[in-house]
Amino acid sequence: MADEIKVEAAEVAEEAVEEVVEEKKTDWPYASYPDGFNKLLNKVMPFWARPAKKMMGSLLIKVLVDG
Amino acid sequence: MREIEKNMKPKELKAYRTQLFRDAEQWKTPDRIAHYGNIVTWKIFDAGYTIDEAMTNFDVMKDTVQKFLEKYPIDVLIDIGIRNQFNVTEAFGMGKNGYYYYDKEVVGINDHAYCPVDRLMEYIEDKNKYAWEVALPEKIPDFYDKPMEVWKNTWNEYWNYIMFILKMNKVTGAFGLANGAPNNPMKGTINFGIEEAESNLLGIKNLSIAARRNFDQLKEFCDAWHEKETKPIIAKIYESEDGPDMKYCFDASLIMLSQNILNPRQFDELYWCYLEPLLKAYEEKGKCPRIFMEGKIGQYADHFADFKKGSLCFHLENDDPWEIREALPNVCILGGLTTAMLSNSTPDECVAYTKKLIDELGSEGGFILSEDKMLSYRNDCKAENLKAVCEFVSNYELKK
Repeated sequence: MADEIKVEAAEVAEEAVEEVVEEKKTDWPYASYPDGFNKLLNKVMPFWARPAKKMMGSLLIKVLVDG
Repeated sequence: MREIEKNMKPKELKAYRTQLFRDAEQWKTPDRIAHYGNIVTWKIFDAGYTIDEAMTNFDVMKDTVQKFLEKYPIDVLIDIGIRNQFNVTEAFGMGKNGYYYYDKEVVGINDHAYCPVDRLMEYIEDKNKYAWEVALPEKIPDFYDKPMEVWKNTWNEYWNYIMFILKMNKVTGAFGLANGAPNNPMKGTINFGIEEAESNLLGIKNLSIAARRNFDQLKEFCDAWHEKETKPIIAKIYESEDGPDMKYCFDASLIMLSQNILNPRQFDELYWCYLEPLLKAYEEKGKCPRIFMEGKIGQYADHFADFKKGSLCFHLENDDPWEIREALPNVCILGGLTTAMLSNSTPDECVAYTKKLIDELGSEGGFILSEDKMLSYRNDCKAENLKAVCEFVSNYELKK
């Protein structure tokens, strides 16, 4: 019985975490690719660097994901 | 270094060194044997620093590389101090979630995996989309909570890093250092689906399991990778001018590791069927790639036996160079020096061994000297041994 409650509690907790993650994702204005990502780059990249946005953006993602 | 090379201006020396490599690859006797420096973080210790002092300080790293090139007359250096991007990941606050780590004595990498086998096709569909929407939020728990200031600092460090790369190209150019191979695409090497699965997406452990349990899914992914990633490279090779690109010592750089964990059938179906057309393209166009054969490749030597002389150069790690020469008399060998010898022998023993390598494997071309492992740890090499080898090889003229 105790084990069943534990399992049920774990499942509820897992669902709650998933909901929170999902909620955060939809709340964050830059969560989508490429639209959200490009919006973020426009905020952080200086104006003069923007022509190279596509190449530099891809490399920045690579540095963060592989680093 | 020989007087003739000492009197060359940097650009002239760079072109001369490039020719030494190309002669060896084409099985022409070069004036002397070229030395490809497979030296990474060891040079930091040799310059009197520790890893943590150099990894995030561009001035220290620049000083490290300059001191190294002043001391050792090497022809190509695999890492000119730009391999690790810790300033960027630290600005992002990656900390323990980063795959790479460092301390005073070591830069290391954890086996990692950011894509389960059932999502490989989603990854290949759009790699950036997968990284941005799936991999990064999973890797970094507070990814969605990073303040804009953190993103701006990360960008600034990323920009500083790009500027440092350009600066180091100038620094090494002043020493007449030759260029190894063209970047493709920007990260330096041509990669294959199976290698990407092994090094990043699944990790070594999960790939080993998937190759047996999820072969069809893995095959579907490797097919898709070939269509999207490798075929466009092959098309570009066929569109390029015939012959070697003399701006570089090699026409491409490839790294092979996965062959060590695949059985022969898996190697043929997940690797060779994609690798062969790429290598054939280089062969047909009269070009020569360098392939860093991590671990061993001798078990698959027969696959490479029919390629023309001048179209392949194997950088060996654990294979015996004499065995590879016997099995593949058509393939230029890059390597020969072992970290075991460089760290345990005397300078005289190292020089005698280097002379034997050159006399037996390189007197008629087909051989370039290099270290078997990337020299990384303090004890990978004694400075006096590397100095003695460099002085010998840079002065030992071959009879034509």
